[in-house]
Amino acid sequence: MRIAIASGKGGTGKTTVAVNLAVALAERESVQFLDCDVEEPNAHLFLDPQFSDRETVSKLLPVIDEAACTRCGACAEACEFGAIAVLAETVLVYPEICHGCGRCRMVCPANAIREEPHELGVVESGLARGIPFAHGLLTVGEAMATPIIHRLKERIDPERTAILDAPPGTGCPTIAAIAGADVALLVTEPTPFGLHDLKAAVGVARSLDVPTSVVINRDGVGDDGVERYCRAEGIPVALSIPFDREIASLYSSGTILVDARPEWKPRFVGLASQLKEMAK
Amino acid sequence: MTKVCVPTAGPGGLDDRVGEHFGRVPTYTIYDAKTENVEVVDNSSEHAGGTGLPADILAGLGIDVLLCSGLGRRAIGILTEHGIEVCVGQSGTARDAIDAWKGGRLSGASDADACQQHAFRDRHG
Repeated sequence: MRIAIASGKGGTGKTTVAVNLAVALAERESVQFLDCDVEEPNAHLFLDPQFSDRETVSKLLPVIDEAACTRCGACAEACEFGAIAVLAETVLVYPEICHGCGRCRMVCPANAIREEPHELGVVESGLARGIPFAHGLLTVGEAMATPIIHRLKERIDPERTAILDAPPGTGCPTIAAIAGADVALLVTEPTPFGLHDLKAAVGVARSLDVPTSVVINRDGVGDDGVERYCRAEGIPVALSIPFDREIASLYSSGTILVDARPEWKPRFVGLASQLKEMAK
Repeated sequence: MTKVCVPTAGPGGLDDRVGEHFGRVPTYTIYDAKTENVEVVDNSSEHAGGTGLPADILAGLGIDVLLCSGLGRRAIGILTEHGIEVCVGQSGTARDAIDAWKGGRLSGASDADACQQHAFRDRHG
């Protein structure tokens, strides 16, 4: 079972929900935690893992042999992403746009393209409270997060309940994290901003054929727009977390809610049960 | 030189405003000085959810001159490599910019004209 915790809007409480779900569930079954927010991972601040492994993630970039190149333009034409521009005197490769697919090398009639690995970041893994934990770290200045997320997902153990803390938004990194999940748990706040971005996230999950459930965080602020939307769309609101100073304060000190307030444990266990029902 | 491009802030056309940032505008308004024909092209670059860099897309359209408000250093470099002349600091409507260019009142851009907030980020279009 793979549960992706996602949200359109950032800062809604994805990590809070993911971490509490993992800790509450770990008392009853084998879980695994993957922090897929590789641009700004933060679950380690709460789970405090001991890392035992560090793996570099790279993508292959084309290198042009200018002497052999005939400026025919076949590489630029073949590139799906516009990552190569063939000019009169030279060929430009835009590393941040290149997806490392190798098509340019394959189509080059002059054999003037070779590929070299370009480091994007790392995957660190270890144990946190006995829970297998891994997260990715995109190197500052790099633009492409998806290869790191795909590498993280290779570590999913089908025997465990995998909790994937997805990046915010609805772009490629979020899609990479949600794709293949059994259920997407979308965390939102009950505000017009939260609703706007929730709708976008629901659109992503639906296009990936992943069933969705919603957690409303900071319940009590804003309005009832999210609830009305969920009702109209038939999306279950599986849990509401109130807007509460103590909860915010615990978060700020890196304390996990279910540790400090054990009454929350059965609520997160109940949340997991609902997700399992949906995933069937 | 016949084809002049103005990044436009809205749906494009001579009466649309010059867009503030070259790479992120929704449309490019293209004026053919020979035929006086006006064409609007959507920004299909990666900055607008598509693929490729705006500079390469404009080169593919056969643009000779770009009249814009501001752009990044690397965009100036790529446009120059493509042989496209760049004039910065335009405001008002696309028509205003094209009239100024026709009147010979514009001068070309160099690295020093790049938007300062992008000057340290080579990846900007």
